[in-house]
Amino acid sequence: MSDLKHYLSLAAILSVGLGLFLIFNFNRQIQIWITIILGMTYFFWGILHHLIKKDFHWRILWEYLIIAVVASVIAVCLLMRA
Amino acid sequence: MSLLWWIRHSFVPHHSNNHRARILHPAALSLLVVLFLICQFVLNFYLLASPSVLGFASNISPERVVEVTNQKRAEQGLSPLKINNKLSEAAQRKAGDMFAFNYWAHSSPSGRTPWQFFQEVGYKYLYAGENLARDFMDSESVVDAWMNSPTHRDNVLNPNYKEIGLAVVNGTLNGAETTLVVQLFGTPTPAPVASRKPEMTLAQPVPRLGEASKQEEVLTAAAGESTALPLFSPFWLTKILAVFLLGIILGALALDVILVYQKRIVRLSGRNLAHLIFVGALLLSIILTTQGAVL
Repeated sequence: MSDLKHYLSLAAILSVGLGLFLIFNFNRQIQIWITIILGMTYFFWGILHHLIKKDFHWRILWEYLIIAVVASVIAVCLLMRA
Repeated sequence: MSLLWWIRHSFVPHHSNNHRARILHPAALSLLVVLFLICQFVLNFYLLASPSVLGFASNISPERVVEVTNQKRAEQGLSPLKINNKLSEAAQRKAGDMFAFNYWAHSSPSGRTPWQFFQEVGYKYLYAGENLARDFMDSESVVDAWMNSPTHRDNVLNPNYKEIGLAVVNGTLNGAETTLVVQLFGTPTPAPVASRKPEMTLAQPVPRLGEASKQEEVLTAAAGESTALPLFSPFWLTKILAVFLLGIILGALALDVILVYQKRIVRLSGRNLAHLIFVGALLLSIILTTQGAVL
């Protein structure tokens, strides 16, 4: 049940981010910042989630960091081309 | 090692990959992002070397932009703007200046403001404004983007403006083929001596792009004029590559979620469902990203 709350909070954060992304369509600077903030938020969400579940490990921190960086870098590169 | 083994090793949780698809290992993901960045550098290099192969082409007509702008004003009960040749000349000079000094901003790196272009062509104004756009495919998209931005919309629908000048110019900005649209608004001074202080309106300035100064040939894209079409658009190449890479990661994550659940694999790792939601959201943002920017 607590997992569901965590996932819902993540979905809510990402939905707000996507909403802002659409609102600021054609404003590349703001869209790039939204993408970077979403990546950082996801990284911290992952750490917090595993700390609360008491199964945190440095390998998990590394995994969230890599996923956040890979997705954000690809999205930012596209925004810089747009 | 067969191809089938390699595919299974890369995408299916198995004892050979420590029960996690190899492509989802941090080392493999790091390699993917490095390869993506190398592709971007190669694309930038190729853009400089062969702008006719990698580039951008649009079908924007100055007359149509003015027409659509006046349609938007008419919908709000505002009077249409008349084309002023001096304003169009000022817009042309502004676009040429942006290409010549490689910047994307209302003011040039040397501090040259839009109002100086008004003065250069001898347009004395009571009210003045400037909207900029780049890399749109057609006239309607340009005006729609301005209408979706509150500051640009205010310019388009400003009842104080009486005249308009438009320039659509192709050139190279930051090494990439670009179509710039400069829209200038103005109201000429009615009397020889105006006691009122002129009002000038810009959309909110943002940091300029580009660093190097590079002189480029400036071409005017007149209505109906056909320009040489580049074979590939760097934006679309990047978008296809981005969707492909994130699609592969998303697919591997989805497969991992299913197989780990079915086989009841216990391992130390992050939450795949969370990764799926995050990568899915970013993939959606990439799909929704359209070409073109306003300033």
